[in-house]
Amino acid sequence: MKLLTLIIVFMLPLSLVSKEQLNILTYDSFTSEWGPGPSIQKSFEEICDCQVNWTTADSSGALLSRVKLTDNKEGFDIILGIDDSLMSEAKDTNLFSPHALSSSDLAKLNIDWDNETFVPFDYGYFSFIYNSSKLDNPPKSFDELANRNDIRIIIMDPRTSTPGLGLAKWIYQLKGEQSKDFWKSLQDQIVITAKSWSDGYGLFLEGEGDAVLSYTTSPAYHAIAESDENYKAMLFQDGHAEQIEVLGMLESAPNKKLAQKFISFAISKGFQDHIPFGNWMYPVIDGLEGSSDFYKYAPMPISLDRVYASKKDKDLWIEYWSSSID
Amino acid sequence: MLLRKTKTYGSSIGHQVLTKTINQKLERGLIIKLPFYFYIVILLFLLTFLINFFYETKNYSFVFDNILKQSIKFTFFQAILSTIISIILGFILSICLYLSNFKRKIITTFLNFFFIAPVLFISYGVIFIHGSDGLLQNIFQFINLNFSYTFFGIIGIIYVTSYFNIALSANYFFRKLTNIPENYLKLMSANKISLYVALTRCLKPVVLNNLSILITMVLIFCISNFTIIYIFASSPLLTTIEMAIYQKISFEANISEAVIYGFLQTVIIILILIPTLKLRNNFQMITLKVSENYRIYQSNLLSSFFLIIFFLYFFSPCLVVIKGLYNFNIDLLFSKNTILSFLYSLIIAFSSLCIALMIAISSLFIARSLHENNSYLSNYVILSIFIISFVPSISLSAILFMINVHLNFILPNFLIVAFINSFLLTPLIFLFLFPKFMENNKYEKLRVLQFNISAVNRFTRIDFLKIKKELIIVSSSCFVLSMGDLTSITLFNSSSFKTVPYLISQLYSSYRYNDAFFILAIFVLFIISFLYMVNSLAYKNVKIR
Repeated sequence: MKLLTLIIVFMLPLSLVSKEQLNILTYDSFTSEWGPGPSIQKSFEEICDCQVNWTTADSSGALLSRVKLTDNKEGFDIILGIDDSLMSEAKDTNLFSPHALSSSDLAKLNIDWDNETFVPFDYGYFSFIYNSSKLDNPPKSFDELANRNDIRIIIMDPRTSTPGLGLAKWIYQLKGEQSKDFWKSLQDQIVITAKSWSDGYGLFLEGEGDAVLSYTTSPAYHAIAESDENYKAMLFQDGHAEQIEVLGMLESAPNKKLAQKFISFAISKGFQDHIPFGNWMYPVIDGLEGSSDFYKYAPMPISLDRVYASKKDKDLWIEYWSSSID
Repeated sequence: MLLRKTKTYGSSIGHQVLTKTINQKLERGLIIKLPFYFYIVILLFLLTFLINFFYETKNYSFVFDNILKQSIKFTFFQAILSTIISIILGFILSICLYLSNFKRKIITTFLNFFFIAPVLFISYGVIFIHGSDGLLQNIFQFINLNFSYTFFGIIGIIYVTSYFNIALSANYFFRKLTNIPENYLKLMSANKISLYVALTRCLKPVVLNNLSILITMVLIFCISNFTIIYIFASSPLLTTIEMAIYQKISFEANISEAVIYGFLQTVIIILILIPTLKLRNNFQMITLKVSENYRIYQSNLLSSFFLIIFFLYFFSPCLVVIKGLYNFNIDLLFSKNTILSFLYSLIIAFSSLCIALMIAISSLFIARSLHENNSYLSNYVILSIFIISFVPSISLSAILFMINVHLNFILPNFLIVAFINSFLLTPLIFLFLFPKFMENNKYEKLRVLQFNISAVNRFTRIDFLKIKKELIIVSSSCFVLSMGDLTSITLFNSSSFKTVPYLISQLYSSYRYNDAFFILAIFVLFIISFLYMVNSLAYKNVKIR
């Protein structure tokens, strides 16, 4: 009997070790205690009988760089968190394999999607966030913002930040070849060009600017998590550029079957339930419980057409921005 | 007796040979020298890897890139300006402190803390005071003074970079001033020589002696101000080489260009500093003499005024602790994440310190041996220790990351982070321990030869006792510096491996700014308590005036 107990005691950890492993590379805030990662991990592990391992990089851009540099020798199955502006570049690396979701699976999404490699898991619209207790008449368009010398804005460097690049795209979508002139007209308002979104947003909360480049969903965080309804997004009549965050399976994934299962899970309720109140972005499926509160504080803005940027496009947007700086 | 004899006789010749070999090695101190040889092997390995990068890079047009030129110009402009400001103000502060009645132990403890305080803490502390919605601007508003200013851009960068380096310089000069021999002071007192005359004439050689080493250290610290640039560079034009490297690695996945950028920075620093990297005989002046109590100069109105300004400059950013504690969050404090982050920070700091101490002590030992034999190679030992600190830590991280990729990730991440940190701490330990290590070396050498003392015995019985106090102090500083580092951890973290600075950055990127300030405050309080305890230990049983 004692021997049997001993065998069971020794075998128990082995049975845990023998669980299938799913290695996901994502950005750091996703896996933090207060981000959606831990809840998503718990939900998925309940159905997969597997172990999810997260590895993080400090930004969305760094994720792709990491697998490119290592040729995925680290053995990741999934990359979660690159955005639509990196999709084309990511596909060109030939490091990713098709997601194999059917068109009926994709039809469940609340956004149009036909990409064969990447699957969206949340999205948002770039916007400028302001404190309505300090600024009572926010601009209604980009042109108005450029003419309002009383507003100091904080933006991010498009070379080191995804929202920064999003702003460059947004301006290009609205102004086309006139982008350089527009950047020049906006220059007086820009007080800080932060290196990352978190730094820029932190400085805004410290009072360094009247508005900060972020997402239309940011006010929902303040209203719901902090009970502060003063933070609002400037809603422009000329429309807002979109950002879609996606996940993709790596060609050299050690556990493709499990990775495929996770991709299907990413567009299910079990995953999406944690997006509005964990990642503070719009979920890609409708009908989630309690999400009406989220949409109340993060109303959908007018959307500009979706753009899938190539490396050349991005270089052009950055060039318009950098050549306008004195 | 017979049995004992038989046993002795029965021991094999091989055993005798082995014992003899071990004894010879002990005499030569091979065990002590090993860490330095290991370090040299790593250096050569890194060099080979670097050559490979050059070999693989086909197109060098990026070297003539305007962005790189701008980065180089700005890197050295801000670094040289900060160095000049730091050394001048550090010198003035040291005089004010020397004239003041504050206890030396307290002065050096605070100067140490200001030098090693986490960059994030001081940066956000400065914003808390000087930001657009900061304490100062609110006071101006309250008294209806229409004066507003922004602290972002070059002003903020110089202000915060100088903060740490003024403390370092002041500490250095203060130690020199406290070491002015008593007979010098008595002579000056008898001749009624003023402090100004004393410093500009009589004591000039004492003050200027080894200044080049201070300049080297300060310049290196001013160049590697990545976090400060990250926070305060309000414009894309204010970009340093380290920032360009970060961009190349994180966003362009271009490791070759990143490494070559790092190489360029290293070469430029070497060209600037190579004349200063010479081993000097007289290092005695940078140790702190705590028991000295002869004073002829007293503080005056001007020195008191400067002291108040410096007091405000150094202590005002620390007020951010209040903001952090105001957001007290007990759940966060005792969460698994926070506890693990503290634990990993402690492990990283401890491992880095152990590696750095082994390399530094080993190199000190070799440098002294060579110096005692009048060998010019001693200068190369120093150069080899310093050279790695010239390489931007983000480049070093990238190279080690790529080496680990080629080795199929054989090295655990925490070990790589520990190695990177230790390489950057080694020169600091080397420099700090050098004066004590070299003390009476000529006399000691004679005695060592006379009594046939082995190298290991010399180290454990003589050197260790000499450097014990300094060792405790520098170890505590390096421990704290390593705990607060964020550079290399950004490349090597995982969900199960994160440190306190990384936790703060995670909180920061998840809208949880108040919680980030809270953890920062707790982290700083931990550091202060730790330093206080270590200093108490170091100065235990020492009579201080």
